[in-house]
Amino acid sequence: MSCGDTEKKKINIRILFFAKSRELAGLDEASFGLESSSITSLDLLGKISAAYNLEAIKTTIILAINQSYCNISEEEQLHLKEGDEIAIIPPLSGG
Amino acid sequence: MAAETKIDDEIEKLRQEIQELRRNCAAKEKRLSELEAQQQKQNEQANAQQQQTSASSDQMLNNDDIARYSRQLILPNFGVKGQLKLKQTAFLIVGMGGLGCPSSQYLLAAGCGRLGLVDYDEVERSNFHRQTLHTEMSIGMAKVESAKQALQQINPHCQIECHRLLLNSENALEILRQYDVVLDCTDNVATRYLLNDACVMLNKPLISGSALQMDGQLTVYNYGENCPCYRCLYPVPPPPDTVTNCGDGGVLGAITGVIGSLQALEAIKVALGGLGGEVLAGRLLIFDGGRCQFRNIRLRSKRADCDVCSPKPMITQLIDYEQFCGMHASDKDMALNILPLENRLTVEEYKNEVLQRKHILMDVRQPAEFEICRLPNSENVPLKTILNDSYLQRFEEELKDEERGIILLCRRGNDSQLAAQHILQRFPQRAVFDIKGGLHAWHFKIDNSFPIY
Ligand SMILES: [Zn+2]
Repeated sequence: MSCGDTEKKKINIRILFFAKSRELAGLDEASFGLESSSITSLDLLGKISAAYNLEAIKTTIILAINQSYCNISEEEQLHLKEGDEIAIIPPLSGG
Repeated sequence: MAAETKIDDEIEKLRQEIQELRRNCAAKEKRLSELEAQQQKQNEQANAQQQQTSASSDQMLNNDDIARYSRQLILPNFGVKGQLKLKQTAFLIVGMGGLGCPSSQYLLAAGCGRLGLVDYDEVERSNFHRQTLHTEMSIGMAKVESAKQALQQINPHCQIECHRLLLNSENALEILRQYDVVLDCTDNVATRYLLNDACVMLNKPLISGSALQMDGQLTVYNYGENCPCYRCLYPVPPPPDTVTNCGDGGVLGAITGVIGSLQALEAIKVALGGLGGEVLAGRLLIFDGGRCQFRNIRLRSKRADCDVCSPKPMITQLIDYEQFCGMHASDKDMALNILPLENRLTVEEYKNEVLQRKHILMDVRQPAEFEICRLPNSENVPLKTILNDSYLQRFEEELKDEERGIILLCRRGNDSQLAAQHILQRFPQRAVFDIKGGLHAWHFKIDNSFPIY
């Protein structure tokens, strides 16, 4: 199997919603299907925001992949695996 | 009957007298803190001289210290050295609310040398469930004074300084400069950016905690070379309409308690150089109280083009943070004015003119709030179900009758405008109104036995 085939493989990732994103999505977590395991972080955030009603807070979200900060950019090419955990973390300002 | 009236009268009289005493007390407290500030300035000069000549008390532990701090003194990584270091460190807590109360309590109990408290606000009844230093006796008092009184009972040996003010670009640097470690216990976005920028400029570690509903977050900024700042993580502030405060979203006291206690822990670790462990810098702790789960997110390093912490910063002096964020530096609600005046009713107009006519009164608050109190003829139609149009089906029959007015109501008259605006877009010809000031106005102008929260 060539490398290209692997990248085209459909995968499911696990999305965890925190704070405001939980309220907007109406969910604690979700399983999300991707057509390809290779995707830019900007695209990934775009797809998740569109699917889960997060457009309003898209610019202020921290995206963490497997508990590690992910820079949002069209140059940030991700290679995700089945079951990877994507945490959606908006800022929290209350006290 | 006569006896009842007599009791009522006496209750009313006592209430008024107590109010008067509180006002008196507040005036005296204000004068006292002015005088104390004056005195402190004079003392500081005298102390500076004294410290040079005599061995100062923060260079050794006395018997009271040894007894008081014994349980932490015997910790291997703490010891006498740690205790003395703590005694020589000055901490500033910004915000004496749900986070500031527990963090100040633990810092002071642990024996920090000097503790500064910043808050402009006064104690009110809705604070008590999470702001555990304030008591029934301190309603109406400045939060910083109320906290100081409570804290002095816990540990009389630490110096507590009250800054009763709203921190802003004019006063922040001057105040922060006097302290070694800063704790962000605030309740709003504007002050978070202000504290971040000020701490970057002064190179002070910032222990940043926040909490809302069942969630908490914690991290340490400005500690170590590579640690990102708040702007590295959030270069642009969130749109104002996506920010929920504790007054609207609610928060459980135990959640602020957890985060506030952890802030004290990290502040102590920062002061003591890590306490044999690792400071929460470059990591973000996420607390999901609903599941009681903690997560630790490894954060990015400094953003090379960060507006404030990069080698060539755009921001070199403090800016207007309320303008930058489009939000006030408090968690008090701003009154929205998005609905045309002709679509807004006062509570009196509603009661006197509309109540007798055919209408539907939609209360757009959350079900949990509707359960607390409601007007007898109202239907609970949460804002969400209006914005997503599911109300159309629920009120299909009622909506057919075009004569019937649609009246929107909420707690304070903001969400009701959003709801009315949305309905008007669909039915521009119909009589759609919101009630100005919502149920709060109802309490103050129509029926003061109606509860407010
Ligand atoms: Zn930065």
